[in-house]
Amino acid sequence: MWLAALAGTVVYLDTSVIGQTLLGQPIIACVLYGLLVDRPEVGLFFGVIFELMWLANLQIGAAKFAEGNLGALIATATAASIAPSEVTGEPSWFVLLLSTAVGLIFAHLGRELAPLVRRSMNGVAESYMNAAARNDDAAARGWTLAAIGIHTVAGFGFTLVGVLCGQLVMRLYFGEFYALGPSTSTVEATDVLCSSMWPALLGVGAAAAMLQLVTRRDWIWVIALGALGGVLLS
Amino acid sequence: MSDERVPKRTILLRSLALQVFLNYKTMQGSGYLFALRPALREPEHHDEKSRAAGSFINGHPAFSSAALGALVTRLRRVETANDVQEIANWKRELSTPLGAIGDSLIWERFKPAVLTLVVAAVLLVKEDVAPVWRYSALTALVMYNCVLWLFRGWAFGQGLRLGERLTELAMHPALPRVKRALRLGGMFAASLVMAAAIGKSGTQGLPGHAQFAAGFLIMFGAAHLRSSTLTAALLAILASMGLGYLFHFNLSVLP
Repeated sequence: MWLAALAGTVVYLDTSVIGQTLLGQPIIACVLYGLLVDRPEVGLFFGVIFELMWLANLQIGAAKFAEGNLGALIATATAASIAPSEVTGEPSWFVLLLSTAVGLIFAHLGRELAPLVRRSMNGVAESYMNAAARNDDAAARGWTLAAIGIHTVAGFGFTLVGVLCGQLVMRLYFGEFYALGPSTSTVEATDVLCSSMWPALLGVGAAAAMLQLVTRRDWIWVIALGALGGVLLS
Repeated sequence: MSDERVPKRTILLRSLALQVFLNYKTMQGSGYLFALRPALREPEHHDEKSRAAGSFINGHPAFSSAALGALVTRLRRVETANDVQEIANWKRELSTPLGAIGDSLIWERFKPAVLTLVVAAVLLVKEDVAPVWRYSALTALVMYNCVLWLFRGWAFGQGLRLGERLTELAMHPALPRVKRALRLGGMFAASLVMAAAIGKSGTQGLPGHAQFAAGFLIMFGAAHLRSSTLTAALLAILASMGLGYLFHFNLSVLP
């Protein structure tokens, strides 16, 4: 949980505060987190799904944006805290479904995070400017650290709350020993139906990629090429 | 300050934290001041220069390097409150092109295309995804950051040279070529990820294709109706489970 919160802080800082190097993107961050907790397959699943779904989630100007990257990490951390299914040796689809829902909801709730941080930054930025105008290096450094501190608390706190809620959902459903994974009967009863979310979410992601990357007049070419390639690959 | 004495690398490194002070009053203004502080060491008119550097501005972080270069040039002549106001007005006018061009090229095309290619590479592999992910993710990280870093350096130099004529950069002859290349790159990435996703869905046979199509159409509908990704994803999950139920429990009992 603490590791997830720390990873969430890095993701939050990289997404919108410092560097913006792609390190915080789901396809990178979730897999790295998965490798850290020895569940790379979980990281890869959420990395692919959340990366594609939030491609069109642009952080432009003062507009609100969903914290898709944090949502992806919360989903990964939630699912990775549950042992793989004993039946298949892989994550239970029901666990992946619940974790996806938690990640999606927190990504959406994250729309309010940036405005909150930016409002609290109004005073900090002004104090920094005053300190810099006075050429007071110590005060300027202090206000810079305060600004980074606010971002760190925001990323850490949001991820921690997300992962806690995710684990609460798992606990409510699977009981006290939720981390041991769902029972064989649950897996057998739910896997068939829940696994259908994978192609559907791939469809959502493929559409998001097309909407973001392709202008309307070129849609027909991309759909034709994609479908042809898909049939050949199937 | 002569051009030789401009601490370009330090300013560019500090500009990576341009959004640390992002706020609703001056947006990236204080971030600009943070990046430019190494160039504001002279005591003459320090207060005026700092306030001019920290006034309102907002643009794409990478494209801001051009504005930072131009500001270094312009701040040399700041002495009075009138100069501060003049620079503040100029920065405000600069925000629109700086944001529009930067966002349309990098946020809307380059970054998503690079990430889509990584996802497509991962989806195209049938077995042993780990090495493919490792190489594609590393390549994406190195390429994306190197391209942007080189661009920042070039744009800073252009800004330094052009000063208040910075908007002339929007008429650069390479811009249409870059747009065309990104358009084609985007089409390639989207086609590839669609093919890879259809291929992956196909492993579940006809139900997989039907569920893929349902998710695809729901996302299209959601974008058309300006619904959130959350709504689209949850609806897609529900639809896919409905289809899964139909295929698995109903169609399997058909003769």
